Amino acid sequence: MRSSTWRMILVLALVSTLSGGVLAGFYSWLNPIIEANRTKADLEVGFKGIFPEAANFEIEVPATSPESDDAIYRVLAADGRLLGYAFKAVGEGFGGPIKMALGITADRSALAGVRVLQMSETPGLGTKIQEPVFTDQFVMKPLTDPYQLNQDIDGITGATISSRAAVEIIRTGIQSAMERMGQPVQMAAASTTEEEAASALPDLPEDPAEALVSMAMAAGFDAAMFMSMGTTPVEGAKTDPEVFVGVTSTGETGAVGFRASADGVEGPVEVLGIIDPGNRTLVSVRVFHQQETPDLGDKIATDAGFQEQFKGMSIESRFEVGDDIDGITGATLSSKAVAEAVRYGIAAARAAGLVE
Amino acid sequence: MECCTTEMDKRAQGARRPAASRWQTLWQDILRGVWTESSPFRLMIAFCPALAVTTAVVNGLAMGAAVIFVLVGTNVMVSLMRRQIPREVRIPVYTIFIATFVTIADLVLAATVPNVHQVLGLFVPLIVVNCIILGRAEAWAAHVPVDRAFADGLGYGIGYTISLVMIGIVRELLGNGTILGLRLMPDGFVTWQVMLQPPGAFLTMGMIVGLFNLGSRLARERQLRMAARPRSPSAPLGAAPGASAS
Repeated sequence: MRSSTWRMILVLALVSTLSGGVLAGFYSWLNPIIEANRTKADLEVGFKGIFPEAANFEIEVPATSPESDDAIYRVLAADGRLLGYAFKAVGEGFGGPIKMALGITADRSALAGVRVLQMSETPGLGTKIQEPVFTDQFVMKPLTDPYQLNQDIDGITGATISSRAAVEIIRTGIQSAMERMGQPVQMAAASTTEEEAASALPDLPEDPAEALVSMAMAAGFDAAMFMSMGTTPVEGAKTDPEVFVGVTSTGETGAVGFRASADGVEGPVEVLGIIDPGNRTLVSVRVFHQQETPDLGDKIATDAGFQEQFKGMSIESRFEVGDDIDGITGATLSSKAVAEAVRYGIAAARAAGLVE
Repeated sequence: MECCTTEMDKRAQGARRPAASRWQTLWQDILRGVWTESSPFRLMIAFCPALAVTTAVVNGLAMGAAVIFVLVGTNVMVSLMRRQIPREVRIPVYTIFIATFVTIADLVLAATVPNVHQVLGLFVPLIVVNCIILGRAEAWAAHVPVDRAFADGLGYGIGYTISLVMIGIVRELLGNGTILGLRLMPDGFVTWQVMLQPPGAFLTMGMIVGLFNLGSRLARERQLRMAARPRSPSAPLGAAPGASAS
């Protein structure tokens, strides 16, 4: 049945009008809810997330235009006290725009914190920028810091672009907001190499006893020599840890050393440690040998911060990665191997009667 | 879009089954979409959203719900107006229906579950170009009464949702250690990040299609074996005399 042109036009016009009417109805019904959701989320998750005591917001600097959402607010507590300043910042992420809430302290010297309001990043990877593991880095962070990825900010492993985007948004957000508030801020210049962070760790000598001496000297502990007392079996350890006694320059026994290993991802991870028997604390821990994944697991050996955190820890600690110990992001198993080896070493030293 | 009209559709539409009640026919219509012709594993269409949003199970569920809504709505509207829509403009008209339902779904998602809506992002509006919907409208809804169109839309929508959830379970469990946000893998589990990215999606799809095909083949072989079995000891069916029943 060939339809006349009129019929075609009629049907199309009718259907379009019907569709338009229905959609207009739904939109006017639902849009207020959608907008309210958005502003509520911005407020609750964003501003109140950064300033938990926030009760009122007043405009400090108005938005640059009616469409842009970049007004800077004074954040006030219930009693009228100034808590700080809050504003929103937007930028391009990996999967779409990222909108963040930024908070500045009342004295305008540091970031109070950041929150992610909207994003379309890869779930499980880029979306981690909204988690405390990333956002906590910005709590009370001085405005004069460099705000550069891999320099003063740790990104999310496997989500470099999302991390970089977030840092960009925060940095430019701070700069533009402070300028609009009449106090342009100067951030420290970005350093050109990442090697500065890693170069703090000196290489260890091949011999374990000499390596322990080098570690003791670096930690400011008096030990001219470490003597091996042999190996002691420890429950759970595949390889018996070796224990050492440190001899000071005056000939007295001082520190206790150990060499222990535990299974990492690609093989055994061997660790050297020095214990202060008087305080019953760890003086130093260094990863001695490992075969972990380059640029990932092997950070247990190259990352100074990871190894230095053992300094001063009580030997009674359970050394749980995630609770007592911060593991290397993306290298949980390697980090756990180090913690396990430290536990074995301490157990051996106690079993040998060198430490209570 | 004639490519989307399958042989099964033509047979199913024309089939006269006087013994079957109306409800049985409708039930068959639903089952066809859920199992025999489910997408994307059997009727291999609509891959794109299936691969893109299934990084988490909840995304698959929300996407599936939207697809069910749009499919059922469009099928019903097309069926209601099937004698009024001139053949020459049927595609634009179907598309207007689909776009309307998709926009409604998008607005409702944004108003009720803003978090999920944000993650689904562009893929909700993209339901408009999802092959299943235009395909079913053209191949089925335009030729059958409203109740059968409704059943068909429901069946295909549910089938698609189940498929999305299946892919989502594999990808979320291996890529994040969770299902619906609940941590299910033991603590030491190192997540397979590839699963959250396109290669992982394709791998999962391929595996599941392979399993489906294996299942079909086994079922067919079983059917053949059952058919070759003699009905009674004195009357072997098609088997050579003396041949043992397998």
